[in-house]
Amino acid sequence: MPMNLLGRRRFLKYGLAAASAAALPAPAFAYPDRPIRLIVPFSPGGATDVAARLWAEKMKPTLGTVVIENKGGGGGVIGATEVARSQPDGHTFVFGNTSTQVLVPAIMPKPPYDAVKDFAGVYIMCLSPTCIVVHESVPARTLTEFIAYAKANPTKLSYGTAGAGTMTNLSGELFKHLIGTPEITHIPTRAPRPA
Amino acid sequence: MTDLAAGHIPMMTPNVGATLLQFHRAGTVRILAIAAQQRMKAAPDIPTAIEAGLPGMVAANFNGLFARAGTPRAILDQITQLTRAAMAEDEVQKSLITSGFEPILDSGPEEASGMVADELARWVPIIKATGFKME
Repeated sequence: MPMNLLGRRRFLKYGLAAASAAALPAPAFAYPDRPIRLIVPFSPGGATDVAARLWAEKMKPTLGTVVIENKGGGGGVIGATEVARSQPDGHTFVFGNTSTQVLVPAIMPKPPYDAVKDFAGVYIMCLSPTCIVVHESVPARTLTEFIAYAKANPTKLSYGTAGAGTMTNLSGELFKHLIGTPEITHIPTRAPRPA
Repeated sequence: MTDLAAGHIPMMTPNVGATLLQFHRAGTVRILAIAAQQRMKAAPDIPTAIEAGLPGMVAANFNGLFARAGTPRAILDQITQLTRAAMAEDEVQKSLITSGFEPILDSGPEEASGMVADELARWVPIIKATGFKME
């Protein structure tokens, strides 16, 4: 192969690495061989970002610098897509969540990636559960009492979420579905904050 | 949250964070149940919905690391090992709990991929049944 196509430096790096790998019994690749990129598919400052930065800080002593890149937009789909199309060499990770890895690909008519086939799971660091919470004036002390109240007065009830299409919205829809009260109205109370 | 605390809306299904727990402790709002398999470390006195009589009411967001499919297994294992060591630290757990998270100490490649498969299997029928749409 002509050297000007491959490039002398690349030949020296990869050609010699391949030659030495073939000669040695143990894997000869060094990992990582450059800074690791952690794509956070949301804007900076949210709780997800805090957890991602904590991880990056803890990896530093062993893996060296982990560069965090906040790539928000599209419910996290933009950042996740970048990792779905990256080289599978362990130098690019996405700090994904239920939206990017489950809900968005399940809900979008033409998702840009396959949640199962395009990613390798590595580690689920934490969970952020939702809850059912009512104002003190609602006449129900327990969940059982509230279910009875909701079934008796479904049109009186509405529930608020951080926005349509979020896990909090899905949580409310799940509750309505389980107790059989589709009449309860969803009110997106404000624009979604950073996840 | 302020709309709920002020009584403008009677009900919410939010993620459990420090502000919500303060309102709950003050009696302004009442968290009836946590939509998770287990009680939360930040609020061990509040029952899960499963305990409170509504099996299936589990809606929790997960956060974690994913790589491109085809990443060498040795690399995934190395990252898992390093992450497990970090997650075993008290300081890391406390920091996550303060941010409203439940830390997971024993995850790994199988658990992470399994979580995605389980959640897809659970949510897809609900999304279809409720006609749920993205914003």
